[in-house]
Amino acid sequence: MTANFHIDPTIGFILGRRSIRKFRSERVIPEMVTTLLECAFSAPSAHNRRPLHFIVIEDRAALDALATAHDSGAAMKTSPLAIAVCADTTVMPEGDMAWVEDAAAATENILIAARALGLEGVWLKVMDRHPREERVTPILGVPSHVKVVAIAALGYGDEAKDPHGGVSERRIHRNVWG
Amino acid sequence: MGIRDNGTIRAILGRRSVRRFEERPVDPEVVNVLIECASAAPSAANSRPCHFVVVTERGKLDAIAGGHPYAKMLASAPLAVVVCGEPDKSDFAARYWEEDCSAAMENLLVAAHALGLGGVWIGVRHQPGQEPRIREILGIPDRIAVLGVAVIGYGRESREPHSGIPDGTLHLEGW
Repeated sequence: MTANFHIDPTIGFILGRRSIRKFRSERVIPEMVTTLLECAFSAPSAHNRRPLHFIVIEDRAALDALATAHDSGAAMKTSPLAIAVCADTTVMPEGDMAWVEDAAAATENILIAARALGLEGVWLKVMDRHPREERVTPILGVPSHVKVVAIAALGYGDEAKDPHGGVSERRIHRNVWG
Repeated sequence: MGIRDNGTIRAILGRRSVRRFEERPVDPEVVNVLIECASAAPSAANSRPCHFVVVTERGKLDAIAGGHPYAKMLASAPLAVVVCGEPDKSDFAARYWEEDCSAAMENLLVAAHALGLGGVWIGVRHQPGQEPRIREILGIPDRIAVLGVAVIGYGRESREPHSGIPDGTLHLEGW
């Protein structure tokens, strides 16, 4: 029923984005890295406070260290690129954690943009997992007021998965819950 | 063709918050595609904690608009998708529903822009008093968290795409 709309390439990339954890060794050219970052910064920000910072990691030794420190981070053993999505928690009013939402929207933009450029990636959670968070953040050297929300491991994929499709009707509610 | 001419990159950079809408409704098939895109966002350990309440009834749209300090535009929009999380679904959902639902929300907004619609993300979770109010309007159970509202319609304003990286926010190999 919805087939016509799937011809739109952007819809195709959104539905086609899957978590890819194996990568070929080819580097990602700097122009693409810059585009991924611009797309990250294009995500909306609550009250336009823009709390986000990004750390680009391409050094093999640093990627290997992160892959070892992160208990689900094996993707960084082969990915030539990782982007750590960080939030300066002092930008929001005390107790307002909307920076989590900003960081997540930006991470998703990176992953859709990557797919559109022929790259693949996986979203690795960092915050709120222990001791993962304590092991990963010192490698990145972030100050104490900055939270590492997630790391996107990125590169040219060395595995393929079928696109997403369809929705669970149980999760859609129309005009009222139920 | 340059990287920035890629249609999807243009859709991501071109998505801006749109707050003025035409009256015409959004076709139900288009709404389904938006929800499909939202559902395609990744979730922690595939916990899939998101629910979507599609609101098209004028009275409910007006009710949501009426008591939220930043949702006045909803009174002239034909569609809202209220993005909710189910934190008690699993341990992963409890920790990460908000990140996962935010990714779903961003997919929905980028998809909307790609299909010629405009929209804006109205925050609920961190806006004092809004979560219980919206639960009541839509009959959402207390155990369900309300992330925010995607207000969607055909835009009556257009804005320049985003570009560039703000000074001081990019760090290479370490902070």
